[in-house]
Amino acid sequence: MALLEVEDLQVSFDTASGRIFALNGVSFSLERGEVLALLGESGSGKSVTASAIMDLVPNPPGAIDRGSIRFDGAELLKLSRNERRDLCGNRIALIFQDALAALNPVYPVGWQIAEMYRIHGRNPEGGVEKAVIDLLTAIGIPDPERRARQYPHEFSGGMRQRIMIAMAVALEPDVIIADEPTTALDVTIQAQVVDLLATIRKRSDAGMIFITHDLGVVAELADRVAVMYAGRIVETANVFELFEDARHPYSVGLLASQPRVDTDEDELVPIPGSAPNPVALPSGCAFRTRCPRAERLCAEVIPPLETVGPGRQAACHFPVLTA
Amino acid sequence: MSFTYFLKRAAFAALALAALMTSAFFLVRLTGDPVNLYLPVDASDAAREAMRIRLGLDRSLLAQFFDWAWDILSLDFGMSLWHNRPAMDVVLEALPNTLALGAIALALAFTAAIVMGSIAAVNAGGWIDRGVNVLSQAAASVPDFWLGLMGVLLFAVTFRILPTSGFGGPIYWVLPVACLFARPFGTLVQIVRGSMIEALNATFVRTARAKGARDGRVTFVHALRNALLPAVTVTGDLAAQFAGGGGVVEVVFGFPGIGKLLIDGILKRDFAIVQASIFAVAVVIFVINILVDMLYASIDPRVRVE
Repeated sequence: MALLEVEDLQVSFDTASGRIFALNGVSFSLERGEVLALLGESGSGKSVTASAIMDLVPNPPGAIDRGSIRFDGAELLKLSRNERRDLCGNRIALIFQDALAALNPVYPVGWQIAEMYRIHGRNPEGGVEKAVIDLLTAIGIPDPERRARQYPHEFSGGMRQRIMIAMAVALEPDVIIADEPTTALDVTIQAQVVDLLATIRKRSDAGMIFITHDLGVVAELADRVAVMYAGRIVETANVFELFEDARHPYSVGLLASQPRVDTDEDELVPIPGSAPNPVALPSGCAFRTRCPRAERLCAEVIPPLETVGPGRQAACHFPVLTA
Repeated sequence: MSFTYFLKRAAFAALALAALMTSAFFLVRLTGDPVNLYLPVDASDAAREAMRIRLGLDRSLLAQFFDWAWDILSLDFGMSLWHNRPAMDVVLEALPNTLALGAIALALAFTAAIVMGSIAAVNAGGWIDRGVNVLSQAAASVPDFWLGLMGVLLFAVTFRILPTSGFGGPIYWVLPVACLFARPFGTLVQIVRGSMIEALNATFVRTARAKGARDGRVTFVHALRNALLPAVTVTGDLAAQFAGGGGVVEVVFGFPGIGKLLIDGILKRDFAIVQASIFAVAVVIFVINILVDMLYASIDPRVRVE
C-alpha cells in the first residue's frame, strides 16, 4: 500500500464566468522515501492538488466533487475538519511558494516554528525553545538564538524559504508537499534551497511531492515525475525515462521548450498556442488543440491514463515512441 | 521609539500648541464683551469701565495678548470669571470625568467591534454577517443627541430606572456611555470586518491551516493581529475627538466634563476657562497620538523599523 494515494480527484470552483474544473480526475501515488515531481505550467492544477490534500480548498467557491485521497490507509475525504487539521503539519506538511506572504508578518519566526509543536502538543526533548534553535541551526541560519526573535521582514528571501522548510519538517512528517518552493528566489538561492531539500530527503524516509514547472529542479530532486495538463495527469514516469523517452506529446513539447545542457540541441521549441481556457476545455484530449499529433479521435474520446511500460503511464491515443 | 523621535514630536506639538492658543485667544474675544454679560443691563458706564479695568480688557488687544502669552508660558491660565477660581483648577476637575467617559465608551466599543467584526468576517456573506451589517450601519449613523434624548425618554422617564441627568455613582454613567458607544462601535465593526476578511484571505492564514491550527486559533491569533492596525488608527482618531468632550452628550446629560465646561465657558464669555480647556485638551490629544504610535509599533513589528 502506498503512503499517499490520490484517485480520480475532481475539484471545481464557482467563478463569475462559470464553473471551472481545476482537477478532472487526478490519480497518482507516493511511496515512502520517494520524491514525486508534479510538473506542469500555471493553471494545470498542481497547487490545487496540494490544497486538496491539505484540506485548503476554499469552500465555497471550491468543492471536491469526487475522488479519494488515502493517506496511510485512511480516507482523508471522510475525516472531519478537525481530524484533517490534526494531520496537517503533524504528518503531512506543506511548504509554500512565497515565504514572505506565507509567514505571518507580526510574529517572530521562532514563535512561528514553535507553534508547530504547540498546536500538536509535542514536547521535544530539551523543550520547544531548544528544538527551534536546533532546527534553525540545521537549516543553516547563523546566530539562531537572536534570529529566532526576529520577524520575517528582517530575513532575506532565501532565509525565509529555509524557515518555511524548517517549519514544515519540524515534526518529521510522513509527507512533505513543496509547492514551487524555489520559484520566488533567484538562481543561486534556488540552488541552496534545493540542496537543503535534498539533504532533508536523504535524512528522512518521508515521501515528498515537489510541485514545479522547472525541469532543472525536477532532474536534481525527483525520483518520479507526474506531468499535469489542464487538471489531468497526462504522463507519469521515472525521471530518467521522462527526460530520455517522454511518451506524451505535451511532455515532449515541455522538454523541447526548456534549455538543457545534456544535449546538443541549441534551439528551443516553444509549444504552440496557450493553455486552454478552463471554463471551456476542448472536447476529448485537452491538449489536442496544441498537439502536432492530434487526429479526429482526440477530439472525441478523452484518452485514459494507461500503462505504457513498467511503472509508467501516459494518457494519449497516439503516444510518441522513440526507438 | 527613540527619545530623539519623541523630542521631535514634542517640538512640533509645542509649535502647533502655540498657534492653537494664539488663535484661541483672538477667537474667544470675538464672542463679545463679558462685561455686558455679567453686569445688569442698567449698570452705569463707570461700573462697566471699572470692571473692564479690573479684567484688563481696557488695554489694547496687543498688550493683552503679550501679557497673556507671558502668563501661559509660566502655565498661569488666569482666573475663571464665572467660577472665581483659577481656570486650570476647574478644567482639571472636569477633564478626568471626560477622559473616563470616553475611555470606557471607546474600550467597550473597540472590544465589542473586534468580536462582532471578526464573527461577521468569518461568516462573510451569511445571515450573521448581514445582521451585524445592519446593526453596525444603524449604530454608525444614529445621531448622538437623538440617541441621548430617546435614552432619557425610555429609561429615565418611562421606566424610571436611570437618572435623566446629573453626576454621581455608576448609574449616572450608563446613558452617557451608551450614547458615546454607538457611533465608534458601528464604525469599528465595519473596519474590523473589512480588514479581517482581507487578513483571512492572506497566504499566512493558509500557512496556519497547513500547520494544523484550528479555526479559532487561525482567526484570533493569526488573522486578528494583522487586522488590528486600521481599527487602532480609527480608535485613536475617535479618542482624540472624545478628549474634547462628549459635546452634545455631556450637555444632554448634564455630565460635568470638559465638553460641557467648554460650551458653558463660551456662552459665559469665560475666556480663561475656554483657553485653559483648549490647552488641556490639546495636551491630551498629543499624548493620545504618542500612545497610538506606540501601540502601532507593538502590534506590527514592521512599523518599528520605518
